[in-house]
Amino acid sequence: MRRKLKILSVNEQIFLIAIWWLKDEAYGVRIRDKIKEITGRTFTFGTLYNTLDYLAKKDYVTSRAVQILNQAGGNKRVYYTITKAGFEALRQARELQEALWKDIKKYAF
Amino acid sequence: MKPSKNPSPPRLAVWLVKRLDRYQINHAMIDDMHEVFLRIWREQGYIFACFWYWGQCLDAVIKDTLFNSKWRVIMIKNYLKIAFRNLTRQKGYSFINITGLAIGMACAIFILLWVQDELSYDGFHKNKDNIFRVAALFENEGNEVYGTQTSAPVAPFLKNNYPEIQESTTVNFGWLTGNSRNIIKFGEKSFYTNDLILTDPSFFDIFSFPFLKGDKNTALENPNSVILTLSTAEKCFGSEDPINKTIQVDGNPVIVTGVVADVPHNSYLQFDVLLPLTSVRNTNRGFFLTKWDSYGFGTYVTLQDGVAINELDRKIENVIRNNDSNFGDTAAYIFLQPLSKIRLFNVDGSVGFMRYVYIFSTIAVIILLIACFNYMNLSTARSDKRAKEIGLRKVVGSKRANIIWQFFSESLLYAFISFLISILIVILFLPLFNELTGKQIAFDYANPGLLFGFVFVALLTGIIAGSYPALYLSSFIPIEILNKSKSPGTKKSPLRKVLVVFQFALSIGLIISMTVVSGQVKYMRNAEIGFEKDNAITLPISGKIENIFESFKNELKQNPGIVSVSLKSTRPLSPGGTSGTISWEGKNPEQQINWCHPMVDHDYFKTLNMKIVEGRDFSREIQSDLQEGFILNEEAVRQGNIEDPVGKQITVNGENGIIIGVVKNAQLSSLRFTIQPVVYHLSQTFREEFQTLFIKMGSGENDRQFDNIAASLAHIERVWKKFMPDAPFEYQFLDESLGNQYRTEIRISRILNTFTVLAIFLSCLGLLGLTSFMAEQRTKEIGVRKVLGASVTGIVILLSKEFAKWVLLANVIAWPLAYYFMSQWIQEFSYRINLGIGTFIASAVIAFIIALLTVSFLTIKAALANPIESLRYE
Repeated sequence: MRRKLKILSVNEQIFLIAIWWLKDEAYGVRIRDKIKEITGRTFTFGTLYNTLDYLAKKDYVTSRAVQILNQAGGNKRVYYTITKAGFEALRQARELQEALWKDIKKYAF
Repeated sequence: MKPSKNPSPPRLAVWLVKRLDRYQINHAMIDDMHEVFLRIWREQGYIFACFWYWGQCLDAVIKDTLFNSKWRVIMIKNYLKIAFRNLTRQKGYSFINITGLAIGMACAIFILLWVQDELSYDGFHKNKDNIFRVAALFENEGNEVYGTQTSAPVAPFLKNNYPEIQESTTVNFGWLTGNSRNIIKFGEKSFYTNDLILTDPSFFDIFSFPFLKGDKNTALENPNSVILTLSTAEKCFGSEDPINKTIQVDGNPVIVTGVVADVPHNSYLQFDVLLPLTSVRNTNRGFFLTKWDSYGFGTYVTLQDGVAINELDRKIENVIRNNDSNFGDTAAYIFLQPLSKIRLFNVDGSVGFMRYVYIFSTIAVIILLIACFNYMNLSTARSDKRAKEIGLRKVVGSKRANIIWQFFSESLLYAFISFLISILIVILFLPLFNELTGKQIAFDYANPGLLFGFVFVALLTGIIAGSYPALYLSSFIPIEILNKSKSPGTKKSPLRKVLVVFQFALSIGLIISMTVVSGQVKYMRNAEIGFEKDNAITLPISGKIENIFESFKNELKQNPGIVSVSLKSTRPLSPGGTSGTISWEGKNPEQQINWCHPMVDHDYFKTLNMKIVEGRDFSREIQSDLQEGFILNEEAVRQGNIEDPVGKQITVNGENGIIIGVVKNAQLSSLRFTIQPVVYHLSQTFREEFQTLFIKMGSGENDRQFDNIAASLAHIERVWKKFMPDAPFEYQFLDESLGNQYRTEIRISRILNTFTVLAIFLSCLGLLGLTSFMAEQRTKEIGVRKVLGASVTGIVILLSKEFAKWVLLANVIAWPLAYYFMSQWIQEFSYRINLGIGTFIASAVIAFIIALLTVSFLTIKAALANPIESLRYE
């Protein structure tokens, strides 16, 4: 018997991967930019934080708030880091993808 | 770039974002948005950046609300589920609550329908706000007397001389035809009209009675034309086309020139046949059309746009006084009264029937309040059963607002269920209600205003009923509840007692009002009226019976059941038209008088059994009575201040004569009005003036009375058919028509009785629920008392004592209020009962007994219960 895989939504995968790419730089604006870079889509901050809060609630990411001084715009940033559970979920998502596409040749479509 | 040069995002948007739950959780969002805002500002300019910021902001707001409302819906579902569980778990209480609220709401809806119907009077006229009645004001020795009618020349004069007046019309309510009732004859069919009016063509320019056939502009031009309402036309012609057919009205051939739709019941003007005023021009009553001092015509006008009524009133007030050369100084002032006020207000502008609209609206509110109080009382009394739930909800994080919401949604659920039931009640009982009120109200589902009203009633009920439980129960402190040392519902809550007292005060107030109103109605129906009203019938009679009358009378009298036959020149209960000039020996020439002046025949006083207190009755032996005999009533003697009246000279309308007797006052009109001075005169020359035939029948032996009356009636009908084959035989008993004058009062009294009974029922329902709760609470106490030797009576008294106290207290509140309102109401009547203390005490006793009976049912049950059972409890 295969064990059951955790299923992440595509949005969540994109967010997690974006955060992973950004490493220490992963705060709201950057995450939004990165996602645009990967997918070409611009998210509103409403959607962005909805998803981020959801990931935080599931313990896939942790956040820490940092005060920024002398900076144009806001003076606070919340940086996100992927947790162990988050990595595990990503890994499983990948496994799921591979299991899904297994034995399907590229020219099938 | 210096930071200070950076623009800030739109403040309102920032403020909005800060209000969001999202922002409370994650403060970084606003800073991130700010950063991107600046970037866009740098690249695309300020305006674009602002747009972007607003877009983000609104998006966040929408996302946030969607996210939250999902939870709200889930919570409301939970609230309703709990409410339903409570509803089904405690069927008794739920039944009391729902019945109470449903009856309360049904009452409110009924009254709403009634009020709506009253307010809808004359609303169907197209220019309803621009129609005015010209009313009259007489000044007589410092008294102001208002009249609703003016004279015939007023309408044309106003239109011709005052540019402010757009249209004017004169309406005569039928007396101009010279008959008290009018007969329509077509072929073999003949019947009486209900309301015949005479008017002129501009009637239809002012009032919107839709024409079905014929041309409204020309229909009344020919003096021989007639307009019928649809149902009258159908009565005559069936499905044939009535236009240009000839019918007879009172024997005169006239041509049907128009058919109008039936007059709606909520129209002040009621008619089924319309004749042109010109139809009487060539009769001996034609001179009334030009007489300035004959106040028997309704005058209606419409005004040009933007005319100030007060100014116009001042301009026209002397119209009659200037034109009436005979009575210049005593003639009436005239003024305008809006059509919309005719139904509900008196002509002097004071509150008339509108009073009942206020009274019934108040009663609706009272009944609804009583029902709401029941709900409040029961739900707070049972609060200990809910206390744990509330405590737990609070412990797991529900805020006070959530609890408040929960109880409101519960009361709204109850209100909604009750509302559906009340709609059912209304539909079921509407025919009964219509009978009670004498209206034809239909439940108009399509009327948005009314539907809105109903839903408003339901919502209001739910909110009022839920307010106290919601606020009270949500205030519980969880630790106290869960500690279980005491349950908070049992702690003394003064408001609950206040509510019960208030409820009973309202009920007692209603009982007092009911007693006073029905007492007054009873008084009026049985009052000393100065003549005998039993076993007498009246028949309308047209004047042209002069030649046959004697033989008609003789043939009638052949039946021993007929005691006496008499004629009068007015409708049965009308005292008679007012006379013009009257003077007598020793009259103060300054005194203005306004006496009624009916013509009668020799047997009038005998027929009605009116007592001659001085002098003598008219006599056939004395020939001069025909010309010179005048009989006054006591009121005329009193008002005229005539000393020793018998034998004095008197001149009435130019006819000289002698006062031969004084008759006791007879109260013909409603006791609402005072007795009027009357001067009676025989009529030989004016026999055509007679309108009403009085026939007095003997009562015979008491046990055979009914047979006698029936036999007499059959005889009268036979003779009537023989002598007057054209006139329908439609008689009315005199006592019945007298009773009909109090129709409004009787209806009001019946409505009041019904709603009072309902209010008391609701109060008792609430009391019942509260008692059962109390008895339950004190089960253990009763058990212990019984074990220690208390008697059943002792326990019943113990339990009832508290309620008795409340009901007594309620009296203290109810009495002054009821006294105030009832003494106001009763002022309307010229003859009225006294507001004795007896009424109040009786009402209090009734309320007290009802309350005790209600309570006793449960207290006795509690007292009789086996103490073992109650002590084993728990």
